Amino acid sequence: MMQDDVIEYGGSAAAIRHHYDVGNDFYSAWLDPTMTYSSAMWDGLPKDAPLEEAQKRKLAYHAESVGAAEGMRILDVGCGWGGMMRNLRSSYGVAECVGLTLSEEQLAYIQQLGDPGIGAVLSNWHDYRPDKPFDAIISVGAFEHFAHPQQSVDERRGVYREFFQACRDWTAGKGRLSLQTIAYGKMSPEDANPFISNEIFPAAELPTLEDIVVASKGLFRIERLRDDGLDYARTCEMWSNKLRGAVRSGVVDPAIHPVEKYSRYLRMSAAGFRMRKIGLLRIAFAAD
Amino acid sequence: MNSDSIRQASAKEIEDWIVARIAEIVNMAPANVSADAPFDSFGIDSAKAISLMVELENWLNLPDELPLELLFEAEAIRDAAAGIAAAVADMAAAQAEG
Ligand SMILES: C[S@@+](CC[C@H](N)C(=O)[O-])C[C@H]1O[C@@H](n2cnc3c(N)ncnc32)[C@H](O)[C@@H]1O
Repeated sequence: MMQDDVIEYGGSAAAIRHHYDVGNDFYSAWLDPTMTYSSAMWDGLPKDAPLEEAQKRKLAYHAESVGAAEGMRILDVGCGWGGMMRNLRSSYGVAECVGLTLSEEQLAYIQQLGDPGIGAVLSNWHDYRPDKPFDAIISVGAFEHFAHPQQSVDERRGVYREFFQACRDWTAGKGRLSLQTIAYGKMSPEDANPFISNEIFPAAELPTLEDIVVASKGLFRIERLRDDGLDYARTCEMWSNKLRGAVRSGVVDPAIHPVEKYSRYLRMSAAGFRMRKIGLLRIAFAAD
Repeated sequence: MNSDSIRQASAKEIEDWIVARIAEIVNMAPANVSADAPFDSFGIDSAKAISLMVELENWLNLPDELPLELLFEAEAIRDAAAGIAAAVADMAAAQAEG
C-alpha cells in the first residue's frame, strides 16, 4: 500500500505506477493481443464474440466518434500500451498520434513499436503542453484516475473542468473528444469497497455522470452518451478467466505475480457492474 | 472422488448450498431465505458475492470460473442454481472428453 498523502493534481503518478508497473508480461498474459486495458464493446456483435473482436469494436467506436481520417493528428490521453494509436494509424490513415501515459513500462513498450507516427510522452495531462494543436482527442480508461478521494466534490469537478478546458484548447476550440470512463451508478462514493480503493487503485476516485455534465458545460456539447456497464462486466470476467488459464498453463507464476489479488479485483468489479453499482460511460463530445 | 474431478451436484443441492451461504452472510435462518427471491434482493455487497462464488466453485471443484451472470441475472436463486448445475454438467463433460 502506498503512503502518499500529497495530492497530485490531475492524477497521482505514484498511484499509476503502483497499478501498471506490475510488468508488461503479466498484463500480456491475460489482456487480449491488442493489449487493451479497458472495457470492450459488444454492441453490434454476437453475444459470444471473443474479447479481441470486442476490443477492436471499441477501438473503432472511438475512432469513428471523433471522425478519425487520413492526415489527422490525434491525442490519446492515457494511452496504455498504444493499441488505440496503432489502430488509428493502420485502419484510418491518421498521420500522427501522441499518447500520454504515466507508466514507464508502457512508454518503453510503445517506443519499441518503432512507428515514427506514434509518439508517447511520459506526462500527466495536467502538465502537458503540445507544440501544435490536435484535430481530436480520445481518452479511454484514464479519467477514473484524475480525481482524488480526499478532494471535495467541487474540487473534483474543478479538476475535470480543467481537463475539458485543456482538451478544448488543444483542439483549438473545434475538435472532438471521445471519452470512456467508469462512473458511479447506484453506489455512492462513501460505499466504495476498501479493497479496491486501497489495494488496487490507491488515490483514485470515480466521477459521477453529474460531475461530467457540470464540468464540461459550456466547453463541450454532449453529442452521444451510452452506459455499457455490462460490457465491462463481461470484459472483467473474460480477463479473469484468461488469467486463470495463464496460471494453469504456467505462463503466469502466482509466486511472482499478484494473481489472487487481481482475480478478486476483476471479479468484484464485474459484480459491481452487474449490480449497476458502477457503470461504464462512453461520451462523444463536440466543441462547436 | 478423484481430487481434481468435478462434484456433479444437482440443481437442488446447489440451491440449498447457496441458500445456506446467503443465510450465513445476512444472519438469517436458512428457512427465511426464499429460493424464489433474486440474489440481489439480499443486499449482499460485491466482495461478499464474489467470495460466495469462489467458495461455490471450490466446493464444486471446478477448473474454471462460473459466469457471474448465472447468479446475478437470474430471476430467482432457484433459477440461478439450475443454470449453475447446467454449467457444471458442461464442464464435467468437457473434462471427461479432454
Ligand atoms: C486503464 S489504462 C487504459 C489504457 C488504454 N487507454 C486502454 O484502453 O487500454 C489507464 C491509462 O491512463 C494513464 N493515466 C492515468 N492518469 C493519467 C494522467 N493524469 N495523465 C496522463 N495519463 C494518465 C495511465 O498511465 C494508463 O496508461
